[in-house]
Amino acid sequence: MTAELLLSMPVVLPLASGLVLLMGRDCPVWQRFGLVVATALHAVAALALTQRVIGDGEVLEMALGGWKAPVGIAFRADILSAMMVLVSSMVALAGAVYATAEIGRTVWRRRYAFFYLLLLAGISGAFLTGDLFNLFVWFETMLMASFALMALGRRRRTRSETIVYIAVNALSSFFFLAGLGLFYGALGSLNLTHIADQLAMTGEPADWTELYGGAVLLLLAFGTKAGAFPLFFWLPDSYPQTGIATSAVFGGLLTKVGVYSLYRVFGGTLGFLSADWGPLFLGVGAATMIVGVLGAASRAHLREILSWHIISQIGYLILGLGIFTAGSIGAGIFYTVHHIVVKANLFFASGLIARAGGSEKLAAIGGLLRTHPILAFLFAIPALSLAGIPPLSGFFAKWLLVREAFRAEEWIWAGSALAVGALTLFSMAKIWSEAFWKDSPRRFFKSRALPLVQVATVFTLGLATVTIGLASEYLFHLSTLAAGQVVGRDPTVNLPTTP
Amino acid sequence: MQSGDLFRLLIGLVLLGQAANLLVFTAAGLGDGTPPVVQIGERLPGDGSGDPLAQALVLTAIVIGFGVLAFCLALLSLGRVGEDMSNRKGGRE
Repeated sequence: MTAELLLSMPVVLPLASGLVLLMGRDCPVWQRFGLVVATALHAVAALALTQRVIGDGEVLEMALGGWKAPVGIAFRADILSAMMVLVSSMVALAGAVYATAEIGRTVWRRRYAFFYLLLLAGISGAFLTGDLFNLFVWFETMLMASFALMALGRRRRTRSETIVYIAVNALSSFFFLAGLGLFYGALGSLNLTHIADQLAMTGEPADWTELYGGAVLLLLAFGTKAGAFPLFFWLPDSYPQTGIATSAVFGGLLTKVGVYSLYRVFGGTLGFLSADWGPLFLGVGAATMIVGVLGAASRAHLREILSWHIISQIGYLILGLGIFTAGSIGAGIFYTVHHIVVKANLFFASGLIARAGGSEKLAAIGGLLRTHPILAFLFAIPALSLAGIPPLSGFFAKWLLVREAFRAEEWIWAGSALAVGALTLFSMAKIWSEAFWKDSPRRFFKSRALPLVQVATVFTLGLATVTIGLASEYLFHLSTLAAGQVVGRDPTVNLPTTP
Repeated sequence: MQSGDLFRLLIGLVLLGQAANLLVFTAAGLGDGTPPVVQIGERLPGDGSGDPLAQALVLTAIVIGFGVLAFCLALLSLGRVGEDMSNRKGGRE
C-alpha cells in the first residue's frame, strides 16, 4: 500500500463510517454493529500502518496536494505516531464493544456512533499530523466530538461541569491558536520537522521574543489538554458525568493527546528549549502527580477516584519529559502506552462494579468479592498495574522512569515518583476494600447480571496489560527508538541534561 | 452557572477567539496593502503584499471558531429543552 493510503486511512475510515452511521439511527442494532465494525476497520488500518512503520522501519510522510513545507499540510508517521494510533484503536474498539451493552436506544438515536467516530478521527489525525495548524484543527475536531458525547445521554439540564469543560477547552484552543501564530511570525513555518531543521541549521530564530511567547502559549494549551498542574481542575469534575464507555475513551485517550503534543513539540521540535525548561517540567510534573494522587485519596466515588488518578499519572509523563534524556523520553512513551490501556480498563471495570453493586459511591456498595469473584480478579489486574506491582505493565513503566530519574541524579523527583506510587496503591486498596471486602451495606440487594461482552472487554484489556508487562523489554526498545526519532538524534547518545 | 453568566461567557470566548485571530494575522507581518495576488506572467505575489498563508490560516480559524460557537449554542439549548419542568418553575430562569 502506498504511504498516502496508510497515513490517511486511520482518519478517513472513521469519518466515512461515521457518515454512513448517520443513516438508520432508529435501529440500535445497526448502530451497535456499525460502530464495532467501524472501529475494527480503524484497528486494521492502524495495524497496517504500524506494520509498515515499525516492521519496515520507515517514516511515512505525505504532503496534501503535493505542496512541500512550509506551504503544504503534512501528514507524518514515525514510531511514536504509529504506536499511539494502534493503542488508541484498541481502546476505541474496546469502547465500541463495551458500549453495545451500555448505551440505550435514545442515545444511539442522538448519533452517539457518529460522534464517537468523529472523536476517533480527531485523535488519529492529531497523532498523524506533522503540522502545528493541522494539529489545532484536529484538537478542535476532538473538542467538538467530546462536547457532544458529554451532552448525550444526559436527562437533566446541562450541568455546570460540562460548561466548565467547554469554556476551559475553548480557552486552551485560543492559546494554541495565538501560540502558533507567534511561531509562524518567528519562523515562517508551522511544519514540525521543517521548524526543527531550520532551527538546527540557523542556530536561532530571527525573533526570540516571539518564539518564547509562542512556546509559553503552546505550553499552556497542551498543559490544559493534558490536565497538568495547575490547569487540571476541569477534568475530575467532568469525566465522571459521562457514560462508562465514553469516560473510558476520554480517560484513556484525550489527555494523552495533550501529552503526545508536549512530547512532540517540546521534546522534539523545540528540544533545545526543553533542555533549559527541564526544571519547569519537573516541577509541574511532580506537582501534578502529588495533587492528583491526593485528590484521588480524598474521594469516595469510583470514577472520581479514577479521574484524579489520570492527573497523577500525567505527572509521571511530564516528569519523563522534564528529565529530558533519550532514556527518560523513551520511558515516558512506554508509560503512555501502558497508561492508556490500564486507565481505560479501570473505567470499564468501574462500570461493571457500579452495575454489580448498584452505585458508584463506595459507601453504598460492598461484598462483591463473594458475589462476583471474577470481577474482583478482573479489577485487580489494572488496579495493581496502575499502582506498579510486578510483573504487570505499570511496574516496568514506573521502574524505567524512576531509573532514568536516578541516572540523571534527580533524587527529589525520583523520590516523589516513588511516594506517589505508594499513595496510588492506597487508593486502589481503598476501592478494593470498600467494594469487594466489606459487607454490603444493603441487606436485600439483588445485583444485576453483568453483560458478557463487557466482562470480555475488561478481560481482554487485562490480558493486554499482562502482555505489556511480559513483553516490556521489546516495548521499551521500541519506545527508545521512538524517543530517538522524536528528539531527532541517535537514540544511543544521551542528550545533554539540564544545566 | 446561571444563564446570564453563560451568555457572557460565550461573548467573552468569541472576543478572545477574535483576539487570537488578530494575533495570528499581525504576527505573520503586515504588508503595505498590496494584495497578495499573483499577476499574469509572475510566479510570486508582488513586493510588499501580506503573507497569504497566514491569511488562509486565520480564515480557517475563523470558520472553525464559528463552527464551535454554533455547536456550543446548539448543545446548550438542547440541554435546556430536556430540562426538568419542576426545576424550571422554581428556578431563576
